[in-house]
Amino acid sequence: MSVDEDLTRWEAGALTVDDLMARHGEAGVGGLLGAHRHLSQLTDTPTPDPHVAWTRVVTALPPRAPRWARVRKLIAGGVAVGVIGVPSMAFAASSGPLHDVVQHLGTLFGDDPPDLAPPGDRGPGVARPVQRERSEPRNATTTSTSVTPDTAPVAVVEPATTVPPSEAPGPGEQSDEPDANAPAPDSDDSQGEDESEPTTVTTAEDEDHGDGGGDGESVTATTTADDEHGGHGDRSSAPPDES
Amino acid sequence: MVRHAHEDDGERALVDRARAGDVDAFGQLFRSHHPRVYRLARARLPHELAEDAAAETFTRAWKGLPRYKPTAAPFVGWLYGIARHVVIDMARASARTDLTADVVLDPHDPWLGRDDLLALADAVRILPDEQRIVIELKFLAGLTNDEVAAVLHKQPGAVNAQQWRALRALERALEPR
Repeated sequence: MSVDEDLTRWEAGALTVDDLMARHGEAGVGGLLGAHRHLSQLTDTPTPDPHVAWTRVVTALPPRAPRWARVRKLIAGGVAVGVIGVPSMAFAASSGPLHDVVQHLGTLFGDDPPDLAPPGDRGPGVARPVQRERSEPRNATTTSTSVTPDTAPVAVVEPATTVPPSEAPGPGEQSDEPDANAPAPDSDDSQGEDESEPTTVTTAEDEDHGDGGGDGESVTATTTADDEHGGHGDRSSAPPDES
Repeated sequence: MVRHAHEDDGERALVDRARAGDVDAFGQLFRSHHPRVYRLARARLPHELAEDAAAETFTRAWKGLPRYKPTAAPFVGWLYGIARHVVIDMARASARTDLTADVVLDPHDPWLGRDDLLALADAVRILPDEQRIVIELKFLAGLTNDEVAAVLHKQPGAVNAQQWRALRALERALEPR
């Protein structure tokens, strides 16, 4: 038997100190037994009265929410995420690629693209994807001016500034077409202006302030529109939020 | 249900009730384990700080009980794990980590005046972590070797070996020079 095994047996009461000494000698186990005895005395160290200590601790214990309360918090959080997240996802889908395709088909097969934009798109403060906000109205304007140069927007808006009087269409032509098309293109055009300008201002403000509430699309648009302000603003504000 | 070797049914039931928010059950656990947690702390801290460390240990345990998984570790091992962290933090934060300094600073402290024991506690601190934890759990917290083995997820034979190795190191450290 090794010394350790005998010491363990001694500790368990199976061997006496004399047995240990007889087997391993004073030099072999004497010091170990002394250290063990000293350490065992540490267990006898007086300790404060636990009842008194408890009276001090119990008053400082923080209240703990019961389990059902934590579950209720989790459910409430999930519902909140659903309420906020699902409509935004649906909105993003309705104004996403599908909408682009339909609008493109509309520009190919008709003079006026069908207006499939969600109603919220017309509002000034709506956070529509900014890339399309900036590109679509201008595309619509260029297609209307290049494919059908005789339409009202050109006749009404442009002649005063760009078209020389000699190249301008005759009074008869002018009077015919604006009567038929003026209201709609005018309203479309003005809508396009109204739609693009306020939205541009809104997004620009949001971007400049580095609003944390913006989504990924607005950040992308920010970097394309104004590389220095919005993008860096958002990026620089992100780490403190995380930390 | 996993039941650890050293845990009796009474303590297990108390732990379950305390996890559910029963303060009285936690109070019984407190009274049962406080002396040993205090001794663990007292090996490294002066009396007042050791009392604070014990209180802080149980406060953290109360907060963390809902996350405690009985299947992962026995309650006593989990509790002493908290205690060790608290004691280490407080010892680092305090400049008075030298136990022998207490004799000078507070001679009326009833827990002082045992120079040999203080020297022993000092020597325990220089042991390698594995050995020191075994010594602390056994001689300060008062666990049996089987209980220490359960706490540390080791075989009792391995704990025995660590204990005797530590005792040899202490014997050498305490030899009169």
